[in-house]
Amino acid sequence: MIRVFGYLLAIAIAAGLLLAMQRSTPGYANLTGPIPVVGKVGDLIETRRFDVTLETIRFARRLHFTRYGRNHERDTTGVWAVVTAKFSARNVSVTVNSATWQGPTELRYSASSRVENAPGVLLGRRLEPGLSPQRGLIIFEIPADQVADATLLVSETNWPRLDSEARISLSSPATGTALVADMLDLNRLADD
Amino acid sequence: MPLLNIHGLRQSLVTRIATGIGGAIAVIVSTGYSIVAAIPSVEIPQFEPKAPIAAGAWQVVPLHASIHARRPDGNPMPQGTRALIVELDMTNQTALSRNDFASVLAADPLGAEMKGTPTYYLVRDKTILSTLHPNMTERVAAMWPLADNVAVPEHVRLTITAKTYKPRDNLYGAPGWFNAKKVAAVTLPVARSD
Repeated sequence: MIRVFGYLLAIAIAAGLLLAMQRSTPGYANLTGPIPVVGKVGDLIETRRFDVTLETIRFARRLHFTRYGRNHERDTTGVWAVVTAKFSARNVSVTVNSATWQGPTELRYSASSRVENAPGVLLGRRLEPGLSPQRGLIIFEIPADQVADATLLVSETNWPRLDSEARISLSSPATGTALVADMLDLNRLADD
Repeated sequence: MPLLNIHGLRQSLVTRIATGIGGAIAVIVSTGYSIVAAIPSVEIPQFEPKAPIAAGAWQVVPLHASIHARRPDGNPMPQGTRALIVELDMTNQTALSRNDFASVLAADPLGAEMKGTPTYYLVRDKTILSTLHPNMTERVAAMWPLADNVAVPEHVRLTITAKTYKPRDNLYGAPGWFNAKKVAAVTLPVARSD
């Protein structure tokens, strides 16, 4: 009888131990998540394979651009956030494909594909080490309540795994007293 | 030497009984599964047009269906086909920008003429829809090509598929959306506009 009781106790302890181990194991997403490199607007932020500097952030209700001889106008239910940034490769050729606007409540807005073919768009451009940094635009479409206290996440891929992710704080005054223009001309911004 | 090996007999009896019980359980369980599988699936809830439908990551408001000679981007349809266009309002209910809207809408059961997933267009830009951002509702046009020699249906029945969020999936323990399930059906009259 005592022996049976001993067996049951051993099984219960083992089960409890396994449950505790299972519950306390960090998830796959956490274990293989991005490695953050933090900074703020104007800083040179050095990630594993590229450097990034955010220069300015502008807001607008509408965007206008000309591409292949056709005029495009893009309106939105929220606002457009147009970020001017500088990218450069460190020691190998890289393409930075992902930029995300993370709002104050951690909602994540990826760079808008509605202006993908606009001039001066920076994502997807190939960067070569040793050549001068590339300047261009990263454009987001966000609701008006996501403007304040945002963070910009920049990485080579959408889901960086065990790789750097630049996290650039956009907190006030850069975005706190946001001036929203009625219309921004992307061709003019790209030429600046 | 005993005439009868009592111990061996008992052993074989126990084995036979155990096998019998096990076999019986297997038969009962498999019959039970067959019966459960044969039960007709629960009727999909029917929604009115223009009623908001919660579909996991998405909120969908089907608005109207119509037949057009041109695609929602303004280009003509290929020779011998027309476009069956369903307009709807879609809202991304999650915290991330998403582009996995293709599996949300299906025509049911209209058969051969409306096979597969539709092509989605962003009405605001008259372009192919690529991404929907959190809490930003957009008017979307879903387009099925319809051959000219197929009679235009009076009504189109659509089903809406939702997935369930799992903070940890069973394979990697990574968060994601799984287990697609039809959660709503809506019937729209098909208008002939041109």
